[in-house]
Amino acid sequence: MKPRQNPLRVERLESLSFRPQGASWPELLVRLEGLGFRAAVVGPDGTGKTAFLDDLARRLPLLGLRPIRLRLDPGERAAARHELRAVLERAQANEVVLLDGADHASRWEWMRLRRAARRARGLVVTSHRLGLLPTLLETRTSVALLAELLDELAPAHAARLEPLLEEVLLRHRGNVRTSLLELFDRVAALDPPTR
Amino acid sequence: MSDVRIELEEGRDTFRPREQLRGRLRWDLAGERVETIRLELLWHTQGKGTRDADVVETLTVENPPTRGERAFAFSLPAGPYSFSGKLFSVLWTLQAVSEPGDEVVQHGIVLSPTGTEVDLTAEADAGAAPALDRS
Amino acid sequence: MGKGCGTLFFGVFLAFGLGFTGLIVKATLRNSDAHGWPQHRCTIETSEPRDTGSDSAPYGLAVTYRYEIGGQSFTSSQIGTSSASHGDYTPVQRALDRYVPGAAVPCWVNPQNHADAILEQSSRAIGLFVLLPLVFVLVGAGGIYGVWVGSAAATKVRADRIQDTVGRKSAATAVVPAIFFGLFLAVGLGVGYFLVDDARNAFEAPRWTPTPCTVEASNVREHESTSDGHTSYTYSVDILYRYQVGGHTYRSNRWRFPGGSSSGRGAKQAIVDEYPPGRDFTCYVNPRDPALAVIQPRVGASALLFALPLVFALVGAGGLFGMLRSRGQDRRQAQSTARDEFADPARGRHASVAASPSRVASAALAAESYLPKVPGGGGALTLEPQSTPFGRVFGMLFVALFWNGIVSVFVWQLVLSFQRGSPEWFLAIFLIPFELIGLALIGGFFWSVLALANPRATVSLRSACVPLGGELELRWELSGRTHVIERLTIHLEGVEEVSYRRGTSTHTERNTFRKIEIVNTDDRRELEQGRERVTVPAGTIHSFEAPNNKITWNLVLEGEIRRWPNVSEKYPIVVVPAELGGASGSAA
Repeated sequence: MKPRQNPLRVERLESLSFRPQGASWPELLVRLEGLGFRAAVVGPDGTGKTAFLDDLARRLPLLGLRPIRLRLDPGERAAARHELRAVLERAQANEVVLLDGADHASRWEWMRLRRAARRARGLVVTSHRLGLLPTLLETRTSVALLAELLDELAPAHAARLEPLLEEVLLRHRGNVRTSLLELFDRVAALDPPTR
Repeated sequence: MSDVRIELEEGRDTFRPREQLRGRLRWDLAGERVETIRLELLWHTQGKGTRDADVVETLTVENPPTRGERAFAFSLPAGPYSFSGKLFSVLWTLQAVSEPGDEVVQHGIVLSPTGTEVDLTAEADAGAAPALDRS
Repeated sequence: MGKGCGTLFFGVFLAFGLGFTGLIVKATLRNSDAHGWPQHRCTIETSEPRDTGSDSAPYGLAVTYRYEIGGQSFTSSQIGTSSASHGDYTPVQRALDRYVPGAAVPCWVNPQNHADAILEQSSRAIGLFVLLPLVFVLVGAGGIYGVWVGSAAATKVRADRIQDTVGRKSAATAVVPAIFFGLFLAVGLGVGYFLVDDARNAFEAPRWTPTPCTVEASNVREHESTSDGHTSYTYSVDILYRYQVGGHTYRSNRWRFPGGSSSGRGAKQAIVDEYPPGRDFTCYVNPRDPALAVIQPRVGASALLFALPLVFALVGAGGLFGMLRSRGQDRRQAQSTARDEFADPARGRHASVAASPSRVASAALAAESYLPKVPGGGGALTLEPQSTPFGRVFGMLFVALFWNGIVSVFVWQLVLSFQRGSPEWFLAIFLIPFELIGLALIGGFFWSVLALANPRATVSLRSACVPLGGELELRWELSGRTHVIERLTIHLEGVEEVSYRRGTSTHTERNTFRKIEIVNTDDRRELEQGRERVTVPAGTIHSFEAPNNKITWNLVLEGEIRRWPNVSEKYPIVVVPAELGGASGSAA
């Protein structure tokens, strides 16, 4: 099976929608509004935080709000952080800033970023730890979730891979993303090379 | 519902590097409001890595009539070849994007000197290559 | 938060370093005060040993001397700027030999206060010790800088022109390793300076003159140290004995070389019990310096202490020497590459590079955005390996120091717990894997240092840019200790590389899809230098570079050395689509 034929290739992983665990989307949006559109999505790597922001970005226009997607990478140079603050300062009252990786900012930097976003209608961030903003959602994964995603992406192979899922997810410490990347190789191995 | 089609000359789907890629873009917008139809020739990756892409040629039709067609001729570059390895593939695509609405119609092609995509997995399966010519 | 912790961690290094630097500078300046005093002639009145009252350094000297300035007579008993007490009797014996009553000796008098005088000016060599805390200052300051400025993307130097490469390498990569190796050398030489006498004595003592000696006093000396609220003790043998040489009575308390104290009172007590006051025995006296004597002339395991500064000095000197050699080689490579290395001696003139069938028009390359930048702009060049031997040594050293520095804090606590008699077994077991990793890192560092002595490989290409189906013409040369290489292999490898970025984390994976052997020889002449032409297969894929997906081609050179790190270098090249090759002979 060639990478372009593999049902677990990256483009398909990124098209997966977020699966709210224990709450529906309407409930989450109501909760978010109650928090003044300033909240954090908290969880370990590969548990759907970025997927949540992607889906939220698609839903915000229905509420008359425009999303601004930003990302803070670890180890970024000062100039890039300065540019990020400038974008936040330009955010308008009908815009909600969706910031991925807010916990990569130092305490001092985070204070400056929050202040820069004060004119925006909202600020929703992802983080590996609690405390940056009120928690809207704590993301977590399970074998059942991994099975559900695999069933959606690769229905023809899901049954054969199902006995491995618990071991794979445990090995990747609950990270669904890297679990699916490992399953990419397993799916490729299940099928012989095709033209 | 609008209908946009990409038709290639002689119905070809495989091309050699530096060849001319000729065809026609046909559309029937069926009353829908379309401001531009943009035809793009691009390569992109698929596989285990985050997608990379690059648009190589573009043809833009501004304020198209409800029904019409436009001939196009793109000079294909020397590469990258269409190929598939173990971790990622490179594919070539012609895509027509209608705006507003972002409706996309795609037509895949193969760019390769041999007429088929380069298959790196076949090389690996064949084992170590024999020693090369030594002169 | 990460930056805060990093700043705190490196701040501790910086604070300790600055603190100790300040103390050493202060002591050096204090010792320097009296160096400006004028010298006068003094007469010794009395001179005898004295008990300082210190447990760890009980031996001192009591001297009085007289001098005259401006018709006025003064008396002083000050020997140096600070009162001297010694654990070793030998300096006291030397002083007694020097300051005999009635002897005229030089002294230094304070011009501001003539009653203030000294017999001996202190050494300013203590200032050399400032190099030790400076290492901590460097690590601390460098670490804080790195935390706040942020990590820059790693860059490989691309050789558009070899002279530029040498210049950039010198400026950008030579400074930090030079400082590091320089400090190692300085520390090794500095500490070695103070140990060299002991080391020499240790190895000569077995040949000294056996002499009858008598014990005057013997006991186990206790040395107290306090760490983290716990007090610990070490012990040393203190046997004071007298002997006669040339009618003159000498005293010494040297047991063996080197001196020092260690844990375990029992063994020392057993030795002291064998030498009660009044016992006669044979000691060994230095025939050239009778003030120097020793009871046990055999060198024990503690003599390994002498090796420590030697190790530091060797690492420092070896590192600096290797750096200088590398720069010289780079310069020579640059000069040789300025000439066409692919000259045809049969034709008696240099072959024209432009006539190569593999030459690729650089203008055509520039239009292909998916291709990586071609080293050397497509012309002839000498390839740079992706990492330098010094990069590896420096990296291993930093990691080994960092890891072992942290682990040693816990190991020391463990040692103290054993010394206290209440061993912490859980901590001991818990530390085992960390200690094993630490040992592996130390081993890795020394392995990389050994690799510095490896032969150096130089690979030259007619062009680092080759079309599919085209010819790759390469030439190699090994310099240095080439006789140690048993087998040389050079191969071309093609590698797929993907990165998956999602959110703020990145996952990278590689797969070698092709390996093409070019050279595999154990023939001595072929191994040291040679040239080959290989045809890159037409049916494979060219180089490809995008932000997250890559196809890279590398020339990999390996020289196998038995029981020693192998010579291993990797050189990137660029394979381009066949259509970008020359008009003729672009395919095999």
